[in-house]
Amino acid sequence: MHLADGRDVLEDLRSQDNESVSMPASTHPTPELGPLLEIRLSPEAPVFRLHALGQFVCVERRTAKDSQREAAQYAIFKQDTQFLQWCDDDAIRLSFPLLHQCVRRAGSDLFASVEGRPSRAEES
Amino acid sequence: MVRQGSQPTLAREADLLRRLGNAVQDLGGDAGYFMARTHDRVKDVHHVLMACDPRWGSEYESLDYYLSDPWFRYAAANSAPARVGDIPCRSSRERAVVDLAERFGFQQAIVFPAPSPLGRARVALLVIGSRDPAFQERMASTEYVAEARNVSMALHEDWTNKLRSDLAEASELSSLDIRILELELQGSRTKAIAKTLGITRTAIDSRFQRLKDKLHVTGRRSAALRALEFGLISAPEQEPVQHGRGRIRR
Repeated sequence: MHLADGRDVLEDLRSQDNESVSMPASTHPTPELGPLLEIRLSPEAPVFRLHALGQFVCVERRTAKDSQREAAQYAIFKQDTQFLQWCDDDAIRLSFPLLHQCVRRAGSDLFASVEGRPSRAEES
Repeated sequence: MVRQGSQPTLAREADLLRRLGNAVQDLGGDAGYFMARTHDRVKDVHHVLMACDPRWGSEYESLDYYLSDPWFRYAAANSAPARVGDIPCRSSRERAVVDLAERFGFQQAIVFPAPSPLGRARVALLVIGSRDPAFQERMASTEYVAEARNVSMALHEDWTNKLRSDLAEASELSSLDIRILELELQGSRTKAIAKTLGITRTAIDSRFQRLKDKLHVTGRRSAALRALEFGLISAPEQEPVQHGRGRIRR
């Protein structure tokens, strides 16, 4: 599976470490725990949690469908371009533009802090 | 709006995501996801771990396909793996769910349900997809199927353990809370629980109110069952239940 920028999603995931890992046992070393951000706008909007772990960012996107139903999705992003692309394709860009900007900025800042460079959130 | 710091980390989720990604690749796929649903009378929660283009998840989410997914419907009723082509769509909406998956690398895919002893209260599946037209022929290999089923069940077990751990951390049950829930599970009433523990009935009622909030349920019985389900309390020993009198655990 390739992303819009041509990189392979599974290669991205696998390259977190070169160790071949098979289920069910996990032999992954624990990645360095970096900053964790939670972005919450209003009760009806999705809640995002972004956690820098080593050289990548793990994202949780949690939505309350109603008082009983809830859904949470999880993904790993290795590069900020991949993360920003995902943000820009999310429906919150239209439904919750302020939240979209916050998530975009927060993710970009996390990547920048990990990589020791300026944030790219304002570029597009 | 943006909070930093004290929430639970995403380290366990990230570990599972990386293991999922590696497993999908080891199993010859180029996209995959693991989806688990936990539902009871109070909550209905879907969790999705993605080792695929995450834009699939964004569209799936925005169209709210969770309750219209034919592959998930299959996994809720079957334990055997299936080629997605063998799972018929029952509505145009189910067809749309499949169309979306096909756009994101699941043209050829195999569904591996992860059975649970809790039956339909907890359903999970692993989907491995590929654009390779011959991908689904891997189903002919019993070794391949066994390996993929192991992955699916291991993910489900690990995910359940994560939820259990999350609930234990979030609920912060005291030893008194645990005793109260265990007594409730044994069928003891408020008066008996109060007598057994040497506290007032009002205190018991107050405790139960907080426990219901902590465990996200609406009733005492549900609180005890939720705590039991997630391993926070022990199942009662096989002795006759004495209604009206609590039994002190050794």
